[in-house]
Amino acid sequence: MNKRTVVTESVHVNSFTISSGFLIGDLERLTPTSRVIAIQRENPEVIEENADFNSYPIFQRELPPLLPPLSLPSVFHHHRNEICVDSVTSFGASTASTIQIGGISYIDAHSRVKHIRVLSDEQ
Amino acid sequence: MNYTVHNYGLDIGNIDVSSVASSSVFLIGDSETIRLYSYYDTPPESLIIGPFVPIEQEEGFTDE
Repeated sequence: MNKRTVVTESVHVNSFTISSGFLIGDLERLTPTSRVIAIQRENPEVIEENADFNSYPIFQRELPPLLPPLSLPSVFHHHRNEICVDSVTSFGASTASTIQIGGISYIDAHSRVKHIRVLSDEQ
Repeated sequence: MNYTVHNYGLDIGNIDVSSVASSSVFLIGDSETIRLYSYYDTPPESLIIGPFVPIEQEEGFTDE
C-alpha cells in the first residue's frame, strides 16, 4: 500500500516514558510492549527489591485468540499525496504508546499494568 | 466485496492531545493493521492496609 507524505509545521510533546516512542517517517512494523507494577503509597520510600512479575496473574494471562486476517480486495486512491497538519501539541506518551508523523504498516502494542495501593491506616 | 477508498485533500489546523497512554497510538498518516492490547488490574485486594507491602521478590535478579 502506498503511504502519503505528512507535512507538519511543528510538534511539541513534553515527555515520553515507559516504552513509548515519537516517530517521524515511515515504518513497516512496530511492537512496543510494557509490563508495570505500580505501587501507590502514602509515604515516599524506595523499595529495594525487584518485584516478581510471575507472581501476579495479570502477567500470565493469555491473549484472546486473534481474529483471522481480513483479505478484502482493496484499492486506495490518494488524490493528493500529502496530509497537512499545522501543529501538534501533547503533554506526553506513556506505557507502550506511540505518537507518529508518517505511515506504518503494522502496529502491535501490548501493555499490562498491575496496581497496588498501600494505606497506613483504615481511612 | 471490493473495498475502494478515495483519499482527497486533508488539511488540519492544530491538534491538542492531552496524553497518549496504555498501548494507544496517535498517528498522522496511513496504516494497514493496528492491534492494541491493554490489561489493567486494580482489584479490591490491591488495597493493602498496613505498614508492609507483600511484594514477591524476583529471584536471581541483579540490578546492573
